[in-house]
Amino acid sequence: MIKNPAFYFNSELCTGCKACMIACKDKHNLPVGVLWRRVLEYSGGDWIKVGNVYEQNVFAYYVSLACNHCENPVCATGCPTKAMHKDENGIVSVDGSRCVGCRYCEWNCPYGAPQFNAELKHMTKCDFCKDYLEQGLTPACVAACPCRALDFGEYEEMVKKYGEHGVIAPLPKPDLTTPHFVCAPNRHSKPQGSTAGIRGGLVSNPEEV
Amino acid sequence: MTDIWSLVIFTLMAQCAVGLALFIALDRSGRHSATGQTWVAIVILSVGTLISLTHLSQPLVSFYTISEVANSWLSREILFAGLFGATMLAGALFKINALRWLAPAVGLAFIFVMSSVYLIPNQPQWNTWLTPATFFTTSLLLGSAAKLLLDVFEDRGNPESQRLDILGCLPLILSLTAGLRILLFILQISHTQHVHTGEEIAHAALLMTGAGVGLLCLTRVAAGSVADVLRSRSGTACFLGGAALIFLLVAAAEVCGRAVFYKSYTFFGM
Repeated sequence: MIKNPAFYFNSELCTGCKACMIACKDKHNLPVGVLWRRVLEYSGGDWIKVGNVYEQNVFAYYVSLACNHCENPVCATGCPTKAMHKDENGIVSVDGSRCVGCRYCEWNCPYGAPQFNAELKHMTKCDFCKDYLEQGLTPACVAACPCRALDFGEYEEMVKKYGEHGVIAPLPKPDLTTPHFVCAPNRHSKPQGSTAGIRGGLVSNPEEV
Repeated sequence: MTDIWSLVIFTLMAQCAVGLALFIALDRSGRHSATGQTWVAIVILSVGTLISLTHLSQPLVSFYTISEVANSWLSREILFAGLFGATMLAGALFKINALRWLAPAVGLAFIFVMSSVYLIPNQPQWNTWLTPATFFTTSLLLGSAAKLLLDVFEDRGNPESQRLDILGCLPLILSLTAGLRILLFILQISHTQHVHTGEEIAHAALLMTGAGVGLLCLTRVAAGSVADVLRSRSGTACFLGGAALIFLLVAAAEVCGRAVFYKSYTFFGM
């Protein structure tokens, strides 16, 4: 089984269909409201006066995001019970028997990856389809993507293959957690920290994620 | 986001207990029972801690929460809550003079650790010096209000002692810390982009009223304008009612302020 797995995401190829999100929900039988993978929409634009006419600079792109199994997982370092931990394969996992459900990991994670499952009464999160990886299969989200916008592999290999992190809005600064996530930007991508979004730089589909 | 009310109540009761322990240690008048008041502080801390368990989905495994003291501020907070309770309990049971200052010292360390829990880079509205400053100020505010109420309650039936309580430092400290708390609150809401107008107005109004009642008591008693009331039997009840009113006002104000604090939580910039 691969060590230190990482996701690759190509924003240029993503159409925002959310097949990855649904495949994840289906595979893990997640209840309503729990999304281990989410497709964020970042959009904006305005009318700008050019000479005597007005032109628009509208843009929109998507970022498909799950847990990034970070090098420095702040969700795990903040956890008071060690329920949230990085396992021997580099996958940030939850030990449900130790989790008290304080949700401190949820406050800490800049990607919103740990999610509370009210049915299980503890935090849950993307486990990188560990069972699939053990069988040599592809994670459900990656396999479901019709545009091949997602890929996975060992972090170092992903970096070698696709380059370093693409730091685009609305992703947080990577130096906070050093995510194992490689993102190819969209041609309309705004830089990290941009406030060009229609809601002041915020995610424009909050109801869906 | 978690159910905020158990956290609001826990943090406020714990901070009240620390402030109370501090003012008990500072009380050199000899008119009040340090042991009795320490028991009240222990009860406040214990009730707050029990209420904090209600925000956990699996409280039965909460014993695991002190297993990560080396890494997690939340683990340290729970440890310091226990240490603070234990030092107060030892002081109340064994009446050891050395513990007189140990309990408030551990308590202040507990407030520092508690505020560190919220210094999270992912929550920029909390990750500021305003959070520890607010927690310490709240501790002084609630602690002084609780101490004043307990002093006046202990001195019921003795208007002269109650007059000394009201003329002591506590109402002055209370009014000054309420003023500081208002200032911190203004800085805090200017630091966050969220709108909680109703609670914010209630918070500021209650704080100002609490501080105002404290100052009013102080100045009116100092001026001797209530001397006639003091001589009557209803005088003590009047003081007790005043101290209770001040406590309730600042407690209600702090509940509003803390609710605003927790509601400013942001999930992925949303």
